[in-house]
Amino acid sequence: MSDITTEATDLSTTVPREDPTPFGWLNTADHKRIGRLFIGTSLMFLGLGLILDLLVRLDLTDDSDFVALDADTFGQLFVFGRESLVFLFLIPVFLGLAIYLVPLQVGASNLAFPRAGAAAFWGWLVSAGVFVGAYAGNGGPYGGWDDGVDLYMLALGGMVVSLLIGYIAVATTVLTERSPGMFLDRAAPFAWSTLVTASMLVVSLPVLLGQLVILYVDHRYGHVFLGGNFGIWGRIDWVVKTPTMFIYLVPVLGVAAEVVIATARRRVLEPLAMYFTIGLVGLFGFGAWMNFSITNEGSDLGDGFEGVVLVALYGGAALGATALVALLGFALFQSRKSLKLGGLNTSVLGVLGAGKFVVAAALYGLLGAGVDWLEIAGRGNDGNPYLRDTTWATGQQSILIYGAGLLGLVAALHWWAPKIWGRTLNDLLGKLTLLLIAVGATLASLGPALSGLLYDQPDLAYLDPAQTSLYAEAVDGGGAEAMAWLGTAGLLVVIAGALLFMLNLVVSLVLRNGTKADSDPWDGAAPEWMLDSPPRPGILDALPDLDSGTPLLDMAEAGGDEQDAAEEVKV
Amino acid sequence: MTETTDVVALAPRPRSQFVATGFAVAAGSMMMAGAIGWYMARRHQVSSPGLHGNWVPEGVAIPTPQLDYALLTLLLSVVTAHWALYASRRSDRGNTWLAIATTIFLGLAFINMVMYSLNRMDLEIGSGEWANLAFAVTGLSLALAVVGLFYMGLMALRSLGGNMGRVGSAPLGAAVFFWDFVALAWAATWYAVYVVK
Amino acid sequence: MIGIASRYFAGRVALVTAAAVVLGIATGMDGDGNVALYGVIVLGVAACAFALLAGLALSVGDDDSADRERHHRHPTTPAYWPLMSALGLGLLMVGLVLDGIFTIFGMALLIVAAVEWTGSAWADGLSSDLEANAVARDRLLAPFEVPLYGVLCIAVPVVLVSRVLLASSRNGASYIALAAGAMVIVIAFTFSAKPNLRRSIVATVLAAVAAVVIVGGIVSAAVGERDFHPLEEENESDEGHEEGAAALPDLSPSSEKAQLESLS
Repeated sequence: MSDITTEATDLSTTVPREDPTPFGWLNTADHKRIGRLFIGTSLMFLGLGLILDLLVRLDLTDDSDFVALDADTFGQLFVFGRESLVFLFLIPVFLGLAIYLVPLQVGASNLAFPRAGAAAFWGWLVSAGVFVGAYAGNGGPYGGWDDGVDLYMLALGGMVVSLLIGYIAVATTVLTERSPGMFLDRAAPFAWSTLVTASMLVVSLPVLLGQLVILYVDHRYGHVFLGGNFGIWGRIDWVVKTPTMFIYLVPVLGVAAEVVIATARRRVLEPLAMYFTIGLVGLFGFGAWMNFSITNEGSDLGDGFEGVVLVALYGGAALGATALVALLGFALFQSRKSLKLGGLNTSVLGVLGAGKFVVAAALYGLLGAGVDWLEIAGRGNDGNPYLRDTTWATGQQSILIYGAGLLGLVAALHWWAPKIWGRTLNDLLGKLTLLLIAVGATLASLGPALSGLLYDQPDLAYLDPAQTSLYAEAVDGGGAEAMAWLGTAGLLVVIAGALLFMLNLVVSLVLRNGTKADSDPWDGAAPEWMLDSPPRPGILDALPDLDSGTPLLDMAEAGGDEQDAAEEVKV
Repeated sequence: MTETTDVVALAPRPRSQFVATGFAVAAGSMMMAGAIGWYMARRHQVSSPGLHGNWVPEGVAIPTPQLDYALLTLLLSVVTAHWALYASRRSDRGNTWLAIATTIFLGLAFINMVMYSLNRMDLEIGSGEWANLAFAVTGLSLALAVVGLFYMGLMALRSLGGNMGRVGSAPLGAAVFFWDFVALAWAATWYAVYVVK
Repeated sequence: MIGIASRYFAGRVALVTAAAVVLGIATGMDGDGNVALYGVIVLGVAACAFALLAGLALSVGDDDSADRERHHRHPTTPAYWPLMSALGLGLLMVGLVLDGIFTIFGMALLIVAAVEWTGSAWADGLSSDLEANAVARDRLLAPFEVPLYGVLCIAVPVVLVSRVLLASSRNGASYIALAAGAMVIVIAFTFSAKPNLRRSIVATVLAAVAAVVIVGGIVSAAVGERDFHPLEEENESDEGHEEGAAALPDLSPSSEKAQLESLS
């Protein structure tokens, strides 16, 4: 463990004190508190998303009857579950991590716009409340209450705007608040991945806002041309599907790079390649333009072109993810002699697993897009559904959300829990959590994927979602139910893993049984490890001027060089 | 409770607000792209030669001169906004305030003209696909204009508080940048919905 | 020298522009001119957006930050404006769909929060003396705040409680009004009897009451007003229900006069 201490830079400014009472959380302008609010709240919403997904999957285990739901609620909960996992968990939890860490990593005293960060959280929370309330009142797509559908659209728009405000605040911090001398290509990998995510979200999610306005106007005034309550989801589901979903997982790649560089105590072979590959995955997540269901555009040639582009998109994402995992893996391999087996802690195993799941998801997409394209270009459309319209798509989503997202989050929180909350999480429980989530995510994705590939089981019948659950007539074989059971079993294992993780958090942090951490329990490389664990809220973080995102690694390398030089002299 | 040492004047922040506004402009552009793209694609599908469809309902008279004047008004407000920024950078308080007030006045006049034009069309929202799309896209553009005016007003308050000079005018510069985008967004809407139709 | 962010954004401009051109050409080649316009427009504007981001990155110098000063620490005082603006957003959403009065409240809350926020941000940047900054902020905004908040503190509870009473049954409204009044008296008495009560407890109690009033008001507004029958119909239905009950003597002046006339 390092023993680095820093002298506080002379702060010739007065420092406003945060309110130490619980009310301080309501009016906080400290990025550390805002980050923790995002993380804690998102983890609570994770439970909601998992339960909804479970209910939907249970219904799919019987191809001719409803099991847990009914014709009225199936469609609503199908959509609610997908959106909860993305907008109530995946995006905000990594935004929370970014709000907490990025100012520390670039040497800034706070977010560029701290109150905007706070407004992002409260706006997201209030919108989430209206969102859940709309569904509870029989609103949302496929709902029976028209006003509830309108409220749903407004709430979704509110959540998107709030999350964008948060990401813009973080991106501005990275661009304008860096320490003098810190070139962006020497910034911490997580800070860079956050900039990539922010820029891609800024270009993707507002397209949804424009569509929501049109949907809202048509739905509110006459249901004229968009099919009313049943015509909404088909036009906006691209935000919870690939390739857009890759954008939400870019922060996981940043986490992976941070953990591996610190653990290996060395930089990757080609640092610029690391930044490039992270950016590549983000770039190929831009799918907002592919919403052909809005206009039913595209002749066969258009479909053929779309097929080629999809192959290229997924290929690019696979290339980027594979290259990054290879770079990081090689760095670990180079350090194998100095790396003890015990050095492979939960975080290291978690990020390697998460990275592999991102690669797997990209390969999923590549395979699916390739098969679809061959259907059109090679043999012509023989009437079989596209693979991407089957439960193959559900398999891909599962591997991204649970395999990459949840696994990456477990790794990230294990890594940064000492800094955020001042205590380490239990490593044994963490490894068990990783095992459960990895196995569960694999099964949860394999079941639907095989069902789509082998039996052409449709993903969602947009105009009559109840038919999704009553799919006996639509499948090509009798094994789809077994595949549905496989997927459900996998999800149950994921839920067990998530519960174990929550237990770990409660026991280690809330009950304070976790080991009290010093400032740098992992021999980290990034600037945040130069501060106390945790840094006191409300106090300007006393970081020295930094010229790189890995100052501790720089110091260790400089110390090693001096030692080598001294030994040479002795010789 | 605060810890106090020497009182120092704080240095201005390096273009943070301008960068954040830039991101917001990028987001706003994509929002308009999603809406106008949908409009143009549907229009193309319905009224393309092979389909022989009617896109704009018969009997709807689009008040073209009024909408043209609205665009000109908005473009003029862009000029006055840049005048305000120019004056603010030279710490000319009088001209800054006059220019900001003129910009806000012209902005309100623009919104008024567009609302009047929509009323003149005598088209009910919900009466058809074109009506709903046109109202949605126009409404989105107007909403951006309202936000832009409000932003300009808030930054005018900061100018009142003394944020002037080459460096201190950064917040006003950000607001002017956003106002430029508002004009561009309306120009695209005007062209797509009321010229191309 | 062009930094990594500028190069990355510029690369995206090139790729996305190429994608837009290829998409337009490929889909326009089918003879019907059925170009995938939506995709082309979104890709084209995305290229412009990436170009803007590249320009922003270039302008702030993503490559060489050596000349960037670090004296721009602006302490940000804690404030309730972000929470207020979020509540305003929530009210706006509910109002757009359910009841226009909430739209007005929501807009007002958003405007007030934005103005206060701007004033606080301006004051934070004046100097390093937070107390002097606060005085300057108050000098600018207090003339607007005091009367506005005074009116709001009266008007908002009145409107919200009125929604609750209007949504309740006739007797229910009476009970609610009695209970509310009793609660105000009890709370006020408790606070005055214990002058050393901790600030956090007072704030918690007041916040809980405010939350109940706000949530109750919004829910009641969503439920809507109860049915109000005209007075004659109520009297008729009341008479119909009063079986065996003796009619009360009519003591109105007109009936008294009629009785006197009949006696004379």
